[in-house]
Amino acid sequence: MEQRNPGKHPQPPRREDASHMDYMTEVRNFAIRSWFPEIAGEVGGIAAQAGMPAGISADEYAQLAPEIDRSPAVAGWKRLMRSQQQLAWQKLQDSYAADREFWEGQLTEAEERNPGRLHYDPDFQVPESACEDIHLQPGGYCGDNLAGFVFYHGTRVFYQGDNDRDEIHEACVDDMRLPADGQVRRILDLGCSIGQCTTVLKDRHPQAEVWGLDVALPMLRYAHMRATDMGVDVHFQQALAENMQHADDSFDAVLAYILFHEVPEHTFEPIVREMLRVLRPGGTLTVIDTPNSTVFPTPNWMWKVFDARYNCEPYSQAFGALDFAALLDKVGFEDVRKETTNTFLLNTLATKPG
Amino acid sequence: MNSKHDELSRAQVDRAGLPGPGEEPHFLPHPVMDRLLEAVIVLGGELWIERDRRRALESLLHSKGLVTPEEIETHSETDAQDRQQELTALVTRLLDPLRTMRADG
Repeated sequence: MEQRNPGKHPQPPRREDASHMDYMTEVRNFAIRSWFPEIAGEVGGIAAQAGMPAGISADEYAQLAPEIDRSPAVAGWKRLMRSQQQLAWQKLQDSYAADREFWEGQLTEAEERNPGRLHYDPDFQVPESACEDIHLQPGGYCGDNLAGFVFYHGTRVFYQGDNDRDEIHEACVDDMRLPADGQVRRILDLGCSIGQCTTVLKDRHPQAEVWGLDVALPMLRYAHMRATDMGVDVHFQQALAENMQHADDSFDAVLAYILFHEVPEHTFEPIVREMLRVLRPGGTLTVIDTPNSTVFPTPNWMWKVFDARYNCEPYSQAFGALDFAALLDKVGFEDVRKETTNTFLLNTLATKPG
Repeated sequence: MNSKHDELSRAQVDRAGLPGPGEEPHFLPHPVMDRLLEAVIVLGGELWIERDRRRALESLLHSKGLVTPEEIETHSETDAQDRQQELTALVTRLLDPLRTMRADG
């Protein structure tokens, strides 16, 4: 069995998988683009009737939640969102598992063809917090050797077709802050997942040594296979973000794309301190993640709480409530700034003092 | 020092409020409604998969001059067993959410 269109934009195993992904993308489009605006109107109305302001706190949302959850529309929307996610993952996972030996062979073959670019210790202990079925993907990032294959196609559905050519990862890299002196010799993609930002970083900075670091070996193995097929020379490493195994002052720039909302609260500060340690003086940090605020519109709270509890993002609310910019200031970063992006995500930029 | 939380791992504390392993929450007034909606989503997916494949197949056949629409209309299946297996698999996928439903949803 030949892998169809290997490399940057592979196809899923069967035509029916692609058809199913198209269908699930449309289901998600319906839920988010057509239905959610109506839900938001209803939820906002409930808040207004209760005399709440446009932006409310978590405690205020908790007061409103019982009435919001009694809405048939809200209940149906939650069911649709959760079932769409579950069914999309499951079909992809079943399809890859049907030819497990072949797909695992693809990963192994890439490691033999391109040695020295995938770094891991077989005795590495994955923390319990990284073993969640994150976003409801069965087995999460760490529990299935084929998780990277499934994740790639599943997130194409998640991005609703807007990232089929890594457009969002390209935008993230283009939004990065870079050192004022223009020296970019080593770059770190922290929480690199399947390496989509990692390969874009190498495209944008071909002279630099680029590292992607993640806790999940199945994702890193897929990232390595993908980069190998693309002919992009980057390194992938299994490590904890709070213990990167890199020297002090060894990176010119660090990017962390949607990492923090998926890690436990007690790791926020250790990770930030580790990023500061590995950056060289004048080195720059770019963190693109869910917005940090204690106040959100009521419909946003409804979605955030749903994601945390029912889309298996258990740590996302703790990061949302964190004053992340203040944390960066506290550990010693300077020139900390927040910028909006073209998506719902927030870009936080900082520099290590020179 | 002896509170329940002290005995829990950090990850377990952070997971408070999430469904446990194997638990499926229900959002609608009765768990059956959740399962029926899931069945409808599955059915829609199966319908689109088949429609998409048929479109591709009929387009190819027609463009190659191999089969006319009339011949498709009047064709009878030769491998009845294979067809029956596909149908059984479809119904299983469609109705399994109901079969696997537990009392607590």
